[in-house]
Amino acid sequence: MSEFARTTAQDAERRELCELLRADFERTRSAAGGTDHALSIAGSRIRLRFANKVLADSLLPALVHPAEPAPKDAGLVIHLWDRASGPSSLVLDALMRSLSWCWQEHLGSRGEVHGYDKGPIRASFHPGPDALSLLDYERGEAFYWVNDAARLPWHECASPLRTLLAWWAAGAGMQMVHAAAIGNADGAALIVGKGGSGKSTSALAALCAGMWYLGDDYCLVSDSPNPFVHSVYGTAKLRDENDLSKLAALSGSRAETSGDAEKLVFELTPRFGEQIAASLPLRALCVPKIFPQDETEVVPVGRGAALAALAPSTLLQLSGSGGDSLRAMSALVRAVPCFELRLGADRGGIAAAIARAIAAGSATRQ
Amino acid sequence: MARFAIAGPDIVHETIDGETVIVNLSNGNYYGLQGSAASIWGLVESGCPADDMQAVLTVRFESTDGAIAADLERFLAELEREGLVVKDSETRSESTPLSSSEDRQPWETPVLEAHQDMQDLLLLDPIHEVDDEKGWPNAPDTPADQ
Repeated sequence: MSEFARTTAQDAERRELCELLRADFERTRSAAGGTDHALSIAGSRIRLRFANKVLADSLLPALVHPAEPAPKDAGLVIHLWDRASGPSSLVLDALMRSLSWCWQEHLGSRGEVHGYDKGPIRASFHPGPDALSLLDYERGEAFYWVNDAARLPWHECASPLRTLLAWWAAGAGMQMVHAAAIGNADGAALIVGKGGSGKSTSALAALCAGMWYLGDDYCLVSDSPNPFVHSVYGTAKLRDENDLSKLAALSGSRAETSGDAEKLVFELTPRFGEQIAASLPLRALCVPKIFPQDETEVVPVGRGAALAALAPSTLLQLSGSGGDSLRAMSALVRAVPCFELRLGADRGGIAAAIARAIAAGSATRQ
Repeated sequence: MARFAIAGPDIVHETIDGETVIVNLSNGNYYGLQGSAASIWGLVESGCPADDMQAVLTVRFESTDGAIAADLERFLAELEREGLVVKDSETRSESTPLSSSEDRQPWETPVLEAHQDMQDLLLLDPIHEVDDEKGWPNAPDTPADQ
C-alpha cells in the first residue's frame, strides 16, 4: 500500500471513530437531558456540552472563567459523557475495555493512542480515570469520554481536560506548562519546577498575601507579541495538613475529595474569586528552592537552569508534546528574566520576593 | 565516515546560553550537559563525522595533550549507552570544515548529568515495570539522581 493510500485509510478510520463518538454522545445526551456550559480561556470561548449533570458537577468547579451563554462562535466544542450513563455501541464498548485493560498494547508512554499521535485528529487515553480524549483540529471539536463519571479520581477533577486544552492551546499558538503563576498590577511571574519543589506553596502563600492567582500547577503561556500567562484552573493542591497549617486562610476553601486523594485540594473561586486573574503579561520566571535561611529572596539564575526546571516535567505530563513544545518553552525562557526563588523559613516574605522578580522583569520591558 | 545521530524523535533537546537540556520522552529520563559537553552535542546534532570531532574541538578549545580525545570517546560512549545517540551506519564522504578560532576557550571535562526522578509521570508497563513486593501500579524504586 502506498504512503498516500495508507494515510487516506488512517484518516477515514479516524473520521469513523469521531462519528461513532458523536453518535454515542448524542444518544446519551438525549436520554439524560444534557447541560451546556462555556469557558473563556486566554480570550477564546470553549463550549462544553455535557450529556448529564454528574460529569458537569465533577469537572466544572475546577474550571474558572465561565462564559455565558454557551457561545455559538466557540473556538472549540467539547462533548463530555461517560459510559456508565447508558449503553454504548458495541464498537465503543469494546474500545473502552481494550484501552482500559490492555493499554500497554495501545498507548505511548504518555497516553498517546497509537495511530492517533499526530495529524489533524489526535487521541489520548488515561488509565485510572479511564478517560479518552480526542481532538479534531479541523472541525474544532473534541470528545471527552470516561468510563464512570461518579468514579473520577481526585486529580482528574482538580485539573480536568488537561490533554484536550493543551492540544487546543498548541493549535492556537499557546503552550500549556507545568507551572504556578502569581501576579500583581505589574504582571505575573511563572513559578516552575518539578512536583514538590515549592510551586504550590509559593503560589498559595502569595495568594493569601493578596496577590493575583493564575494557577498552582498548570497554566497556558503565549509569547506573541509579548509573553503572557493565562489561567485555566481555579484549584490548588497542598501536600498535607502540615502545609495547610501554615496557610490558614485556605482552610475554608478545601474541597471534598475521595479517601484515596494523595493531596489536599482547594477550590479557590468562592473565597478568592476576585484574585483569580484571567491573563497577565509575563514578567519573570522563578525557580523555587528551599534554602536553610530565614529570609526569602530572589537572585538571578541561568536560563539553562530555568529551562531545566520548566521543560522536563511539562513534556512528560503532556501527551503528544515534543520538540515544538520544548522550543516554545525555550523561547519563553529567553523572553523574561529568570530568578531562583530562595524559600527561607519566613513564608511571609514569599509574596514580596515574587513581587521583586516581577518588578525587575517589568523594568526590563520599559 | 561514520557519524553519531540523535537517537530519534523521542529525544528532544534545546541549548540556551551554552547549557543543553535533553529529555527522553520514551523513558522519562532527562539530562543537563555540563562543561564542554554542549559543544560535542552540537557536533552530533550537525552530523559531524566522528573522525572529525576531535579535530574540530581541538581548534575550538585549549587543552592538555590527549584530554579532548579521551573525553570525547568517553562522552560519546556515555551518550550511546543512555540511548541518546546512535551510530549512523550510513557513511558519507564529506567532512566538517575546520575554522580557525582566535578566541579558544579552555576545555572543560564534558559531563552528562542524568536525572531519573520523573519516570513516574509516564505510563508503566505492568508486566515488566512493577515493584516486586508492592505490585501494580507501584513502580520499582528508581535510582537517586546521579
